[in-house]
Amino acid sequence: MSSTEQPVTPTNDSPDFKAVPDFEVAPGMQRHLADARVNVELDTGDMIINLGPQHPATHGTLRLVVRLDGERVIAADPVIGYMHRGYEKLTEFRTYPQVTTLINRIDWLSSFANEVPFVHAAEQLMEIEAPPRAQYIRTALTELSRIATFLLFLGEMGLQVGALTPAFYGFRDREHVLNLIESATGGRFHPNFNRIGGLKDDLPWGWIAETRNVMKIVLDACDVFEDLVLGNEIFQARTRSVGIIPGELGASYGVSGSNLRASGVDWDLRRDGAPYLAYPELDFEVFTHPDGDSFARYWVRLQETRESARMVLQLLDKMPSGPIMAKVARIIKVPAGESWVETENPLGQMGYYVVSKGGTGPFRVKIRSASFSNVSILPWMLRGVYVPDVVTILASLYFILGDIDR
Amino acid sequence: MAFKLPGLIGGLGITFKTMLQGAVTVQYPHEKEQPPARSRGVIALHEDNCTSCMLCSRACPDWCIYIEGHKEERPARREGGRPRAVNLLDRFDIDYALCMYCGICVEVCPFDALFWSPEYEYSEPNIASLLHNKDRLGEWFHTVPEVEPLEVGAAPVAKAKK
Amino acid sequence: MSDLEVLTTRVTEALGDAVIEHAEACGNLVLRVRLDSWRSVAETARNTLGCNYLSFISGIDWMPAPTVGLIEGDTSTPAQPKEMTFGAAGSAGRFQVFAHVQSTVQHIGFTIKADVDEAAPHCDSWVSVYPGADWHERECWEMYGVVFDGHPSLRHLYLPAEFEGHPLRKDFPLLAREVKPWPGLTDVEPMPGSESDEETKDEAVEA
Repeated sequence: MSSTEQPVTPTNDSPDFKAVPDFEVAPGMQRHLADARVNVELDTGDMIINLGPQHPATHGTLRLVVRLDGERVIAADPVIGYMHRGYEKLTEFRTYPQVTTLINRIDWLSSFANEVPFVHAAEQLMEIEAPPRAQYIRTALTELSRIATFLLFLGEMGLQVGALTPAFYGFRDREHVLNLIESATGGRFHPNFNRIGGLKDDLPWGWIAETRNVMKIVLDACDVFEDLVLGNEIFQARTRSVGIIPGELGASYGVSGSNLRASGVDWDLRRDGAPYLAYPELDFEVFTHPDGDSFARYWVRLQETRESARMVLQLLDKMPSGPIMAKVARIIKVPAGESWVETENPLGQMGYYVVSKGGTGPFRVKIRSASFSNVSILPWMLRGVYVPDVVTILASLYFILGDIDR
Repeated sequence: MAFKLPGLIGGLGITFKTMLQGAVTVQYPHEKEQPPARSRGVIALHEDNCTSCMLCSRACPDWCIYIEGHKEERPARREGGRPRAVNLLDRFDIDYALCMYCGICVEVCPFDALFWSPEYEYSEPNIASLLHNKDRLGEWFHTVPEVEPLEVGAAPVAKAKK
Repeated sequence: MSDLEVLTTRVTEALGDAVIEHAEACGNLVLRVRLDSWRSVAETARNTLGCNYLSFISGIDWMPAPTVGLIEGDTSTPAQPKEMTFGAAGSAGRFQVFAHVQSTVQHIGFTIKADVDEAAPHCDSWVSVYPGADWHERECWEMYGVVFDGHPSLRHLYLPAEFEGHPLRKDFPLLAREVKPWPGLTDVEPMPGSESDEETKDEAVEA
């Protein structure tokens, strides 16, 4: 097909809806596959409707074009790009500090975690290392942003299946974490705190004591969510066996993070990838769940929130003293080369492939964002699923539109 | 499907307890929270320090700082010295409709002419009024907080402000 | 032998003569493979080397951006390289397709690059090997114009269907910068570290 031809938007006759590759499916999953059953008594046909882009269940401007037989999805085609801001093009014309500012906004709920792999890649190319105190503070702030985004997830997933209360609890407890991030970095959502070589500023007076209090609040909040949501029979009925991702299939789609761990794949870049930040010195557990359904994804993220709170407490106990910035020039020129850094971001595996030509700005930055691959499995996963379960699946995959669209 | 009593009832117990604890809502605008001192609310300009070096304008990722300046001769400081050339600002505007609140301009300024202030209540009914000119930026200056002490274990700060 | 050397040996042996060149980039193994063996490399990576996880597939345009400097007075944008040079493991021309695969079990990963033709970029699709390649290849086609043979439906991912051009190519201008005039209307001093910094310290300025 030449590059000037453009197929039309998928219609009933379009081959696109049949283009999803078929796989060996486990016997227990047969009921999730659709046969397009035409009801012989009523002359029904298939309906194509849009879920989104303005839709409360789609987490932002995600549009799902679904072909429905009644309430059952036959095929689904996510249409993305409503938030496409052209990051990879922007980075070609920006200096490194400016790029650090921009990439905060890729995954805006855990924005500190977005800056870390980029700055780390630049530091690898410059062959410098941030001092230990900076590494510890970076790790603490990354885990705090993980807690912030997961508390929101724990709340809003309850909301998507119909429970209004957890949403309020999630936001209430998240405020404490955002206040901590704001008192350290100046911004609740977009800290812009990483610099190549370290951090912008040290922590303000009293931050460590305040963080210890907040971690107690977070651990209590996790217990509340466990009792309120996980134990709730209605929640379990809505989420158990809904949206099962087989582990190997998920990996071949690029699904990562808690989604993959909820399918039984024991892979966490903080423990298994190239060592980065202060994780090698921390003692933490990685949680997996064998089921791979929406309930498993909620469970894994709840355990990870608890674990993050414990990790932050460990970091505060072990925090070294010293400078927070390595010796770097005022105008930073990164030597020529290529660098790939991937980190375990709250949404999954985030990576930056930075190509530098020795200037004050990068030559090419490939941003590997987690939600892009997490959402790419939707056409496969949504076949044969009922519409309310579509909402549960979207909530449990936990993607951020900025992360998908960049 | 048999409903086990504890799950739903336990949840109701939690919501009941929370109900008795009272609301955490801050009733803005009657009560206001004080943002932390480092909070990036608005940028204040100290015009005397500015030399129109353009570093902030160049560093801004959004191109939202508009600077115009000119040079003037000032008389020599000492007897028999040469007259000095100083840069004076004609125009220093920050367009807060474009500003990302990233702080790069404040950081790169070598003459400490820009400061962060936690003030956030300057919303306007029309976008054009979000372009703050240099007088308005100077008015924010009195809201800039003092430099606060750092946490235990921080390296001693060499200069008063970085 | 370090882990990276062990990995390099394993991978180069498994891929055989498909590899044109390999290099190490900041602790990451980068291999440049022949374009006609692009899909077989994926199959070997998946089946023999155990790389079950596809991280991404994307492209690189090695040409330096021509548009910078045309915007009058803009001294904020970083200087672009003057001539076309290539990166780790080299390149035969302007466009390359590159991908990163990993193994969730063995905790290894490497980057694979292939040179594609500049005039009519074509490449084999990995969809039959890694189903996740579907969206990555759609994005690569949309941004660079690389046509993936064997892809079930190569259509726009981010951009509207009527969009013309391939944005991440270097000759596609960044319109936002061209539309807005440079706000530093009168530059008093040149940017520190730039060439004109040494030339002139004093510029006459129109008020």
